[in-house]
Amino acid sequence: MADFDAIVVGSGMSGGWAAKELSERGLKVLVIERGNEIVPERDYKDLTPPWERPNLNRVPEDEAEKDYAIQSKGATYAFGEITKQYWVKDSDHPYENAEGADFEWLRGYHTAGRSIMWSRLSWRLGPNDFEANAKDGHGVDWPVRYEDIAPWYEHAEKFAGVVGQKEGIPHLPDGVFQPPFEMTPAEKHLREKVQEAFPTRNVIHGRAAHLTDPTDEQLELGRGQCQVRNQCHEGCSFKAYFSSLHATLPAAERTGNCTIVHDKIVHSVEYDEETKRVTAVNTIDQNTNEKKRFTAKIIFLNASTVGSTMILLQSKSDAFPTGLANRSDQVGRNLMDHVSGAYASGTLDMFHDVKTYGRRPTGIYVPPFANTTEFDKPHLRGYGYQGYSTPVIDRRAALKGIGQEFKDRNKDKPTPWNVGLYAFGEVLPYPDNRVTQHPTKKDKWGLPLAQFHGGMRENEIAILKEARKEAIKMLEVAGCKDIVAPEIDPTRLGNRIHEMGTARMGRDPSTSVLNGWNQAHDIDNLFITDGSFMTSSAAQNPSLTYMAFSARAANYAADLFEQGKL
Amino acid sequence: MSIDRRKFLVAAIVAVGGATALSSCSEPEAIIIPTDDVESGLRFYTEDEYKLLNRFADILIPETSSVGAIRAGVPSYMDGLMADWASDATRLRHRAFLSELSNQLQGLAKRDFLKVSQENALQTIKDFDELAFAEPKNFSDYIGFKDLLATVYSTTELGAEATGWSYAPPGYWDPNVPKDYS
Repeated sequence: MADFDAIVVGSGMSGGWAAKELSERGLKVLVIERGNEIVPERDYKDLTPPWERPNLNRVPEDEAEKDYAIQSKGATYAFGEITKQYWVKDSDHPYENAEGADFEWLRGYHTAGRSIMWSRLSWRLGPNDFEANAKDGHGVDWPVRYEDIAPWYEHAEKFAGVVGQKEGIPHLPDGVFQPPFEMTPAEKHLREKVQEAFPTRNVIHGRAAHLTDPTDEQLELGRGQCQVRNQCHEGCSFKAYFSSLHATLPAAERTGNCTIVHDKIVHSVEYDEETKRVTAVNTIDQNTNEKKRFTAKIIFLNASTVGSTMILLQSKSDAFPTGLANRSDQVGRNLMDHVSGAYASGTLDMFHDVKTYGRRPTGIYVPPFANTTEFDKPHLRGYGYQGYSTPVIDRRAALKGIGQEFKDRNKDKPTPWNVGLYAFGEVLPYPDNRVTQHPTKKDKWGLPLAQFHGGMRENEIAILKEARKEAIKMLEVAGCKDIVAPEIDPTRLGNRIHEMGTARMGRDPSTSVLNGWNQAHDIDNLFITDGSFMTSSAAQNPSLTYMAFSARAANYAADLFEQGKL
Repeated sequence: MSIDRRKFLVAAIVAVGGATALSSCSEPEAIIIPTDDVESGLRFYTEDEYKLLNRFADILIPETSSVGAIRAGVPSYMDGLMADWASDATRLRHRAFLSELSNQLQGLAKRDFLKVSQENALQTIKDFDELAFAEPKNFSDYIGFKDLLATVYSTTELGAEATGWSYAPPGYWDPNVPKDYS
């Protein structure tokens, strides 16, 4: 008799969804989180005013260097004295890069994982994205098409809450949206001029997982309307952005079917050769080193892309000598992310009579156009731009002056507008961009360190070069002056915190790990729905896709469970 | 340190020989520099460094119709920042910068900068600021120092109220607020 109907390993973006859907379908679910428990009412510090944050909210330099050498540099947007609790101590969680690799592994181990610190951008992949591999031959073909996943995107958007506006762009499909944050006059101007000069390009509202018009269901879960503070990476006491902690985990728990345990590091999954099923997970308590085994009829791995991959690689048996579900030898391969490092900004000397109020937690977006509506590009795939505009404010040391003149410049004083476009490009699935077990080095719990191989390549560099050039063109047609566009500086693999692809789905069990239901080809009751299932990266931020596939897979598993097949 | 516990000494500008007298020969015997007093004693700065910091901060962000750097507590915050946040390397660099700043200001004022009149000190810093921004590459530490002081100022409770940008209260989004609306 198994302890639970299903075990979900990981409580983050995708694990929360698996737990919610399975619990709501009546399965008894155990969620195993390797990190500590976060309770918003107790642990969130987002309401702490600046003057009560020690040292300008900066982590002491010696501490940052000693304990957070990688996280503090890679996650600058969200790393501070009151948020360091959301990032792992690199001193406790080391990893290795093989020669020539420069992977940056940015992560947090606690309830809800990185769904606390994510940037909340929520785009659907388009029909073209699910066909891209088949068309240009990189990677393997997705075993699903957009039509298969579209209802689940809708399902995820309705529950999570996503702001946006319907645009009718085929390659960036519309969804179920709450009202968007209005564009600034400068952004409206940019949209008009760009769409005039480039008829197949768009400048649209950011689509982000915030509540601007909460539904009854969202209110019942204790979530409120976005207060427009843009401090989301600190957690949100209003629970106005989507996080497992604000939405899916409470929804799972209110069914009475979900149990969440913390501090349990899953080091392996047991496989029974007789039944050809996984049967249990083995854990080590991160504080006491106590070992504990939990059994279940279904196991979902949602430990994050690299985390789930390491669990598979650590789960060796006679049937799977190179790691669980790894007959294809694809576990750990095809490690993708997105690539940035190309941007342009400029000044729009107009709209002097207005300024903004509030801190909008998202901006604008230029959806991909390269190889979707514009062709003959010197690269494969494409890129989108995350953008913004803000009244230029002469603050701090930006300009000379002392006394009253300097004080005036530090006031919230609008002048011309600054407009910026930052590229996010697709990364191809290269088999030798991969994560493996380090042959000798282990962590403090005796588990092999992750060792990364590979990095950004020619196509990613070509994308950035083009993105820089096209960003300049768009700012120019909008009439921007003083355009600044530094030479490209490609981000390291992992730096965008969108690692994915290391247990990809595909049609052929000999070249992929999962089938189109996120189910292991080799093992019927093993599902993986974190980023590791991604067959290609597309250019869009991926979390909404993880949510949709997780919900779909969980309901598929629940169907099989009800039918007595699992 | 909270604002209400901070001992604040109001500036007493000593006028000697006419308000426009800026030459070193007409300096007063004793200048009282407004000081953000640290009750429990300095943890990082020497007394001379702290006097320089106070004088510079007071002139950069003076008490006007809005709160100045001293009453906002910028110098004592800086002392805590250097003691609690800065690494040894940052402390060394900051200390070296203050020493160089002192030398530069002394050179421009043609005497001990801490002993020149308020008017002379103001003109000296103004001249130095002009010089620094004419060749910003050569004065990156100075520009960083100004930035840090302004950041600290805007982070204090009084400074945040005065500048209106370091604190994001719960609210709403409006991208079309008339410029003069406050």
